[in-house]
Amino acid sequence: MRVLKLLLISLFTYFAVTISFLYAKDINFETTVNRNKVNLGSAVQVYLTFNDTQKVPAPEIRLSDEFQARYVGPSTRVSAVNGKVSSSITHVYNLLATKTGTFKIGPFKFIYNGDNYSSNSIQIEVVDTQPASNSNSAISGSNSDSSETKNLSDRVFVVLEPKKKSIYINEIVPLTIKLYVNKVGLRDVQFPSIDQEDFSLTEFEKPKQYQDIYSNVEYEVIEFNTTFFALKPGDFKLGPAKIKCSLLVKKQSKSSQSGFNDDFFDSGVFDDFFGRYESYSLELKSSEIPISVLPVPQEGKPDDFSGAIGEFDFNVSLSPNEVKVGDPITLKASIKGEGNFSTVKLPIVKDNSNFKIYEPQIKQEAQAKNFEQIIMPLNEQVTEIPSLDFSFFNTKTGQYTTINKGPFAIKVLKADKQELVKIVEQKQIANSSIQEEKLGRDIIFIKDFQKNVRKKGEFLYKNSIYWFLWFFTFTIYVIVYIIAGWHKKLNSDVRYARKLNAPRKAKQGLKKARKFISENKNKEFFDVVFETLQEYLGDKFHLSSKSLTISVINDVLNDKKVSQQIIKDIKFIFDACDMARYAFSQVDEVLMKEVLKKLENVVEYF
Amino acid sequence: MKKKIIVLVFTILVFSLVKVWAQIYDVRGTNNIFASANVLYKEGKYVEAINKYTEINKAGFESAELYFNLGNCFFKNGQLGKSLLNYERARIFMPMDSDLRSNYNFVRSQLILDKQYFSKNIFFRFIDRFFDSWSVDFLAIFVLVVWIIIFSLLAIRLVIPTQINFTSSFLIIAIILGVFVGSGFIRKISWIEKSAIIIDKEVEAKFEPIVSATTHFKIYEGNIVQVIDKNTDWIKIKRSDGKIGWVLSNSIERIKIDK
Repeated sequence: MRVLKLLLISLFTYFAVTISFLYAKDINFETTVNRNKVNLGSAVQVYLTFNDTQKVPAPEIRLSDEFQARYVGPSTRVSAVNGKVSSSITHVYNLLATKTGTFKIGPFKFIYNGDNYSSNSIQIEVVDTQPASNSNSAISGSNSDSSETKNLSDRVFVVLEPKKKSIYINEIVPLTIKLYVNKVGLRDVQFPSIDQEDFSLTEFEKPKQYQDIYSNVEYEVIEFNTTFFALKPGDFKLGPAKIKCSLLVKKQSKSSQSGFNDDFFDSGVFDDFFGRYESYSLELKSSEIPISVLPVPQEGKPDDFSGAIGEFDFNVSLSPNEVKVGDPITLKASIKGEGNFSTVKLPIVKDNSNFKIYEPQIKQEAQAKNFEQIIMPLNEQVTEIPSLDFSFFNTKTGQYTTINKGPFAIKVLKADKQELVKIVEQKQIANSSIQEEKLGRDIIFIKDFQKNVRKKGEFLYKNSIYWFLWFFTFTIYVIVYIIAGWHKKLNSDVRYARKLNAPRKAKQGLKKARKFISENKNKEFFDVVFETLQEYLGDKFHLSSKSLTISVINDVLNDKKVSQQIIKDIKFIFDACDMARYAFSQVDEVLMKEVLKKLENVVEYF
Repeated sequence: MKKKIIVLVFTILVFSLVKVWAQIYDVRGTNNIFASANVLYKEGKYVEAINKYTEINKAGFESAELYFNLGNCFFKNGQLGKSLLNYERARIFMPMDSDLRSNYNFVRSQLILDKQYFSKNIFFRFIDRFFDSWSVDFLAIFVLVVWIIIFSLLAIRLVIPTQINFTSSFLIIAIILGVFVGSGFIRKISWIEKSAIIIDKEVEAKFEPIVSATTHFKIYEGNIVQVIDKNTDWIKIKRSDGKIGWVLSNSIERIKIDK
């Protein structure tokens, strides 16, 4: 049954899809443009109009390199003629012409909701004529040029110009990136970027702007200057340099669509005033430049060469020249010149066993690197600070150069006694702390004996006796709590106390009574029985024992709905006791036993 | 009836004595093994010494000194994770031992360890640090004593109502002490029951207990983690920073040793 159901659903789906394909319609839509002739670098508006619907979304239109398309937005229209209502939607696109020539756009085709949409095609001619005015743009094109320009890339392009193409590793080389602009408006020009792993670029300086002739055409030029150096030897390609900017294109006014396409309305005056330009973002790329990077030669390389490349001058000064042992001398060194300062280091003081030398403080300037180093003579035998040698590779001469400064004569005096003691003490402390650290650098020896061997995993908290002690403590407290509460009630509640003590006292009375029977003490027996019954009932019902009479008891017991047999027994006991008092001769052992038995019944009943 | 009771008590007594005697005999046996393992250690035969010490463990016994010596052996054998594991076990029984502290800190200094704080709560962190040098058995006794004192004071208040004012201050102190030490006791038990140490040099904790699963984080030898869950080959752990992942069960060893 279930299989049949599935089969039916599959068949239904199959037919539904087939029918939908059969009923798929071929719909034509209209493509129009606001003008068929357009200037290079200007935009033409394309209208894709769909009649009898307003639900068709904006199709994605694909064009060749001659145009750059941008969707502007939709416009809808509803009209009623002779009671017949019609509606349409028009999607508007701006096409930026980037090449001169005659080009066909369309037919545009796409599928929407199973229907095939296709449009007519249109021819557009892109011509190179001088724009009316570019004065509103950030960069104005020159009006004097009349040469043939075929591509937009001929009007705006980027040129990458390194000063040298064969360089040494780490050599600083000036780099110029020029943005050439002719007859087009540019805005929001950003600093160039070069994605390079093999070269390192410094920050760009403030760009320059001037006019220049390039291939016999006059251009507005924006020049960006920086420097770069190679990170490893080999043959590499520098570039491309990329510049992002916005191209300004004149908006097409509605008036031009409606037939007022004359020079007056198309003039720059109105464009400027109403802001009739819109921008297209562009990314301009330069061509790549091959760069050959040479390693520094090994021949003639000084031992103290630390990688400095360029042309430098080296100067050193000392102050003061006369110090006590342990006092600081400031060595100031300055390396000036042109080159890669990132590899410039302060030369090391040779034969430094007589000095304590601290790390230098470095101050970097545009064309200089300054060092300040603290040097402390350790004894008064020191007479000079040895000479300093700074070596660099001169890229202009292709040879290594070493500049030698010093030695620097100094006078070192004995330190004060106190200061000497201080230095000695500090040395000792330093030594002793080092020794202590060395002593601690191993583990302590193993234990010889086991003190407390136990079963594995037998912790006290896993022992049942341990937890019993917890429970036991709590139980004891609960018992104490109950007993204390009972005692408290016993002391404060007399009724409860009498009621609680009644059976105990009755048992004592019964015991005495039994004893008197066995001893044949009749009078004492009846006295005890009377007293026991009186007290028992008095305690049980919280009544005054001495004033208890059979009538009082009768009333109380009837209220409590006590068994009539018990009331009779009580009455019998009281009567017997009265008889024993006043007709003693009629009392015998049989009566006494019966009285005792009835008393026992009464005590047991309550 | 009386005769039967006497026979029963006597039988129980005899069995208990036999059990105690057997245990004493076993302990003497472990002492012999311990001594021979010490000899192997002194001869520099660390692997053999480890095997010998482990025999005591396999026989069902343990001691602080046993774990201390095992820690030394593993350290000498270059297994710092296992060394730290055994020092941690020894610390359960004798945390105040100065030799143990020295070796423990030294081994820790040789490892790349995370901050071992499993609680963000300052109170619990203070408690963990405060009771770090208390053994779990001592804590158990201490808490029990405080428990008895609290209920004794409560009982005195019931039995001798005139002493209520006198006992109140003691009772407050005892309750505060009880909460403080009790928290330390519970956290100590939790630490013993849940903690484990990474014994491999570097372990990758995965999102799932599958070899090909994505690595969530890495954890290095000697770091303490909390065991949350386990299946046959994998253990779910929580790192001190709260990250959770699955590691292979042979790369990690729990601090507590089951019976």
